[in-house]
Amino acid sequence: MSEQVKTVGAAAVPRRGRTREKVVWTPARTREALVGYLFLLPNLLGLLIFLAVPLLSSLYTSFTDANIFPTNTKIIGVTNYINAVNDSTFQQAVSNTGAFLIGFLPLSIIPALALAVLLHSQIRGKTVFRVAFFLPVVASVVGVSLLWRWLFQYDFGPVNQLLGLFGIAKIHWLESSDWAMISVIVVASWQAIGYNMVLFLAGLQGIPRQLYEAAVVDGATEWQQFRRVTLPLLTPATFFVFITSLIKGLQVFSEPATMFNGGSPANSALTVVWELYLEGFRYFKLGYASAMAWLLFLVIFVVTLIQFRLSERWVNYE
Amino acid sequence: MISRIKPLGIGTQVVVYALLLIIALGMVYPFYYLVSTALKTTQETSTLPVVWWPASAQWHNFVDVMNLPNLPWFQMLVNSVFVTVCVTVGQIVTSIMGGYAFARLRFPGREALFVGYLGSIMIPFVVLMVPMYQLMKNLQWIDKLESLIIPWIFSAYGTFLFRQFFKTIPNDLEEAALLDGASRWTILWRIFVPLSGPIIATQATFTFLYAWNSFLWPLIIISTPAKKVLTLGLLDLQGGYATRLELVMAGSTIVILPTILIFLLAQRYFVEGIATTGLK
Repeated sequence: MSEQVKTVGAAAVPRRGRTREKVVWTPARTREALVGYLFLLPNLLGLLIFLAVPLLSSLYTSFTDANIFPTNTKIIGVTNYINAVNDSTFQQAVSNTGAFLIGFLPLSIIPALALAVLLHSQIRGKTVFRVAFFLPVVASVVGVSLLWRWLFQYDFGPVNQLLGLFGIAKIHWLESSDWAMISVIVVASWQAIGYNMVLFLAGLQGIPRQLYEAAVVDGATEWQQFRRVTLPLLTPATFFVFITSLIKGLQVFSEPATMFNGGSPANSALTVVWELYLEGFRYFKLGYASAMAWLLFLVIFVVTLIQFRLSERWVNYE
Repeated sequence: MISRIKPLGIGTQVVVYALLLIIALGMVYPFYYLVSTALKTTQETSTLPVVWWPASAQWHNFVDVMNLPNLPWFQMLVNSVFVTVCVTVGQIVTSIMGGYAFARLRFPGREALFVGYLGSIMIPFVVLMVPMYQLMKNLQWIDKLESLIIPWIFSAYGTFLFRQFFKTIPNDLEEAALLDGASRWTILWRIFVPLSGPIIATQATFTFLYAWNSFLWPLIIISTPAKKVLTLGLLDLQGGYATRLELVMAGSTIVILPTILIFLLAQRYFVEGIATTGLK
């Protein structure tokens, strides 16, 4: 299991044979099946205990008033869900997460596409640039969030110093409720650009050279080549980047929780997962937190379904 | 699109380089700030104009951060290394075994199980958090390193990855070995694994990264300082020593640097690993 959600293309699902072959259970074949189960066992057992069972149990818990004391847990129906939807803090967390996505998606995707296109051209030193752009991706989120907290520092933080060079007044990045979420967006995008860029680069490598040659013969300008050849053929990559970024963004937690350890100004950077964490593990309202988790899961599930559907249709696989 | 056929004109090249350089600076500068601040004196961290590089590098900051009262940084470093290595090795081993079973062994229910594995990849960790916490409580693993290791050595995604790779290995080798009387166990570790160097490297680097950087789960489970991992230690460092920025930055450097170094060493595997995650 990894904390990060990865998406796998629908193409990987094995097709069931139309007619089932009749298996003759020779000793060798029986042995093979047994060995198969044995090899899979550690893995399967682990995933059952730490994934399948918790998944079901979390659904159940979301309909109960479970708290820190395991005794006297009662089933209370959909009360947790109703409470969550009507709770003003949860509503704020939802709208904050939406605001985060509105900034994060374009800021982490468009520059990534631009950089990929630039790096895909014939220039020297590609590898160096690629490494530089990718460095933030591998760094610990907690580490870089802390680091940015100091870059955003009001009095002597480099960000305000840089703005000062252009005559821009200092900004209360972390102390003002107007800027807090913007700071989170900057940090998260800074960290995500390199990852998306590599995905775009992989997509660019898949575009056949002849298409550009044909376009040039037809007198297409470079911009036209980008508009008419690169972008349409890059839709699978773009789509994949968009969906993974969306799923990641919906679960944003570590950046705001580290940058505003102890709370953001007027809860302006409180996200859904942060609120879920607080309710579940600060106040130990386990049932309530589970309900919130399932609401979030529902959204992620719908996004993933849309991905499966659309990736069959408008994505251009050639 | 800048044409791939004719080389760029000088003018365009200058513009492209200037753009790339400015962006690269923005990407890398925070790391420069990190390391340079980690080497400053307390006074140098908060003077104006900004001190670009300390008058003399204070390497002892890295030693000082290990010797703080109430904050067993060194122990946390040991915990982080231990947890990360166990998770990485464990996940690779179980994924290799599971992947081989799915790719090469026929058993009833294989296809259904595999679909289940694929489906489970999309389950976000947040829905598992609460019941996992309850489970750890029942196992009495709260505040113990077991909880950071055991649940994380099983990976549906890793299994999927190895299955895909093993399917590409030709049958002949395996059949010859079977005729010679080799067991499946021997075949897996003597034939398949040696052929899987790159994919193991890719999967290991990613697992290492996630395990080393993991934060939310340890935050829920661990509260005793001596059991904490470095990501949690960083929060304590920021909380207790915010007036000594150079120590906070030295600590952050210790957390951030290992993954950067691994990335620089295994760059190819990272890039290939990402490029193959889902683009097909």
